[in-house]
Amino acid sequence: MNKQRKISPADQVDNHRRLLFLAMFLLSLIFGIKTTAYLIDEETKEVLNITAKVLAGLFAIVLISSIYLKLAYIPRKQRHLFNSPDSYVTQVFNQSCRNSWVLTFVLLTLISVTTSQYSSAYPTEFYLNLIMFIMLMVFSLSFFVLFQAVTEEEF
Amino acid sequence: MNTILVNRIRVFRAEHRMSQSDLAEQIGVSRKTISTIEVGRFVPSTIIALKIARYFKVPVEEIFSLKEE
Repeated sequence: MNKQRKISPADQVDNHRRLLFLAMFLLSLIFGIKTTAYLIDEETKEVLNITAKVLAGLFAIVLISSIYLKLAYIPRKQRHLFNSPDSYVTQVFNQSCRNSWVLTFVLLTLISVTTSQYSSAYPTEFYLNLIMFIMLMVFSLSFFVLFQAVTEEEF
Repeated sequence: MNTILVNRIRVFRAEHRMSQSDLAEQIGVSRKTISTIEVGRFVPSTIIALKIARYFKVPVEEIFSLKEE
């Protein structure tokens, strides 16, 4: 007989973080599409625009789900767990921030070195979208890769 | 020489017939945190280490120890 286990607040915090990073990943894809808009033909751009709208809808659903999870399943007295250093997910979050920061810094340096005020091949919006894409993609992928520790429930 | 933290949480859990989730709930952390401590992927804080030792009613040195690599 399966015993239905109630998920603890600490586990719900982990679930909330996973949803949040999924939302960040979807947002990064949207910025990725906006970046490629400058590199493709009109027909493909139309298809990607539709894809971006679908992704925007998914992003909204995932973000609202994460907020709902936080408000409905994590009691106010337990919300200190979000910033608790005694959590593997906090360590992973911090490491993801570091990875994202480093790569964003490298990208910004590359852009500043390879472009100048008068000889930039693309408009400013392109570079801003590219930076957002890389930053959010690295941020979210780092989290998912680091979070996938090989751990199985043991009795 | 590199110093690593080793632990015997799995042994104590087996003796008490506890799952990772059970222990996590007692300590007030997530199951993922307990499982990553066990495999050495996450170093617990002093507070968590002491809470685990207190739960199993043993000195913290019986659960955690240092190993030179």
